[in-house]
Parts: sequence; C-alpha cells; structure tokens
Amino acid sequence: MRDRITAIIAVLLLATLAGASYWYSQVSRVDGLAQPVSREGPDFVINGVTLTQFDASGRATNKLFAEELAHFAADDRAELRRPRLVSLRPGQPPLETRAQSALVEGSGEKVLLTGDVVITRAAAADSPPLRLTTEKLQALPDLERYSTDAPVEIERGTSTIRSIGMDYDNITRVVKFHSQVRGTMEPGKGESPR
Amino acid sequence: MKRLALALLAACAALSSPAHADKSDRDKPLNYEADSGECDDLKQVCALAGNVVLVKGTMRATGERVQIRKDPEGYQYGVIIAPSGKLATFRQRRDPTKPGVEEYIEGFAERIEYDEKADTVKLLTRARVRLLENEVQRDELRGDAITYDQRNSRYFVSGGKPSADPNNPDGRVRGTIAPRSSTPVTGTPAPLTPAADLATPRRD
Repeated sequence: MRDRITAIIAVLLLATLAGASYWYSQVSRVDGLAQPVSREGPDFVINGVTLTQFDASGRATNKLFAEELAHFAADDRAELRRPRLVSLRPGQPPLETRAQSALVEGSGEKVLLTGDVVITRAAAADSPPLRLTTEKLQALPDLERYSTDAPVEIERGTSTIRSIGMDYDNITRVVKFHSQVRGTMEPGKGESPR
Repeated sequence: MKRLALALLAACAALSSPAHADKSDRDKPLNYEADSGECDDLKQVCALAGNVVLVKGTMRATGERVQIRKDPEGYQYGVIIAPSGKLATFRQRRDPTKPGVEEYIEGFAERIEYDEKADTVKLLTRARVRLLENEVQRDELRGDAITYDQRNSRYFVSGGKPSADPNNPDGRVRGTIAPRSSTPVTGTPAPLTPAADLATPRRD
C-alpha cells in the first residue's frame, strides 16, 4: 500500500512539473506578443553601413554608405547620418550624392537629403565634370530625379549656374531652374552652357 | 506706279571708321540672368526665360527668351527673342580709335542672333542699329534684317515687309550717316526721334 502511495505522489509531481513547464512556455510566448517592436524608437541601429541595391539582372544600381542607420519599424523609414549614395548606370560616370543626414522612405524609393548636400559626377566623353551644392534635396534614386526648392549651385566644367529651386533628371539630363537664375559661361573649349 | 519690291537692298554700308567690336570681349565670360531656365546636358543648350540679361565684357543684350549654347570648339551662341510687342536689345563697345571718344554699337530687333564663331550679330525683324559716340547718336540704319560683321565692322542690311510700318509700307532700308569730322562729338546725348523727313515716304 505504501508503494502505491509513493507511485501516485511521483506521478502527480511529474504531472505538475509538465503542466508548469507548459504554462511557462505559453506565458513567455504571450509576453513576447504583448510587447511588440517600439512604436517610437528605432527597432535597430547599425553603425557603418554599406547597402547595395541590385536590379533584376543582378547589376548593382545604387550603393549606400552611412556612418549610422536607424530603422523605424512603425513606418519602415530609415534615418542616416552622413550618407553617401552612389548611383551606377552602365556607360555613364557614377553619380555620387553626399549630405549630413538623410531620411529614406518607401524602401529607398524616396530620399530626403539635408545639410551640405553635394552631388558630383565625374567627366565623361560627352560632358565635363558636374558638381551640385544645396542645403536640401529630394532624391528619387530609382527614377534618378533630384529636386529642391532651396538655393542651388551647379558647376559644370568652368561654367556655373545658380538658382532658387531646381529639378534635375539624370536620365534625360535636363535641369530646370525655377527662379532667380544667374550663370556664367567661361570662354574657351570643352564646356557647354551651365 | 507703286513699288512692290520687298526691296532687298542688301546695302553694304561701312558706317564708320574701321573700328572693331571690342576684341577683349571674346575672352570674357558670358554672364546671364533670368527668371527661369532649362538646360539640356546632352544637347548642351540652355533656354532662359523672363527678363533675360546677357553680359559679356562690354557686350550686353536683353530679351524675354534666350537660348545660349557652346559648341565643342568653345564658341558661344545666343538667340535673343524680344518680349511680345517690344524689341530685344544689343549693345557693345567698339575698340577705341580716337582718344576721348567711346564708341558703342546699339541694336534693336524682334530677334537677335549672336554667333561668336562667325563673329556676327544678326538683327531680324524691325531691326535698327545705331552708332553712338560718347552716347551721342551718329549713324543709324533700319531694315528687316541687319547683319553686323564684327570682324570687319560692316553691316549688311535688307528691307522687307515684316518690318513695314505706316511710315514705311514696303519696309525699305533706311539710314542716316552723319558727316565725319576730326573733332570728337561732345555734349549731351540727343533724344532718339525718327527723322522728320522720313515721316512721309517718297512715292514714285
């Protein structure tokens, strides 16, 4: 009879343990769900970032470097410190964009650059080097479009043009200057207007 | 009998002593100002619009719309279009020939074409060119098209209907060439008025 009681106690203890561990596993799972990713702060921060975007054929189209990248899950935006974006197009010199900070939205479709924005393009067979400076710039990297409503200066070879507000399309290579346009075209070979 | 001619006179009038357009202008940068602009990197053309002013050394041109470009050899070109109902302007100093005398060429037309390679300024439709000595007008030419050859300081003038007005229904070439004297012109600039004799055109 004593043996039987001992056996029953052992079975009950085992059952209690199993039940407790199941309960704990359930509770910890539910706790995880009860505390999802923070709504305010970033869900992750990376220091020293290099991101490369590829097209369907596996060709690198955009390379992004930054000192720090903070991602926010709530709206899938990313904030970058000291970003540098290099756009690559076959047969054309790379276009490099730098700024103090950038806000990237829509998985990189839309980038708002602020502070000491500089775009440079090396010389090509058909065009002299290009350098654009402004304080803020909206970039659509996939469409290669850049625009600003702030004062902007473009140096192209030895020619310079300043304006308030601008749209630049790097595919058609047409720049529109919105207002207060002033420019200088140096005499001599090799350059064109701007 | 009425003269029907579109009166292509193609006058080749050397207006003055062989002074040239200021040669140092060539080596000066072309500065421009406008309300807005659009530049094509591939065609290497800039289209400027709204109160456009071009300045290159002593040369100055104004208009409502301007197209500027530079060819691979580095020559600059400009097409200046007047505001509606007005005229585009062009002004350039000539190389000094006499001490104390500053000569300027002034041009007005609905369309002005500047060609650095050919060294010409073309004034098209309602064209007028005048030569100023110390801001006093000396010579004047009017026509439908005036080509100013900067290299040789020559003018080619043709008349035509597009530049006709009630006083000049055939748009024939008209001009005034002042007598040359050795004493430089001084005094206050004369107001620019149409010559009284030209008010009633001669009829054959």
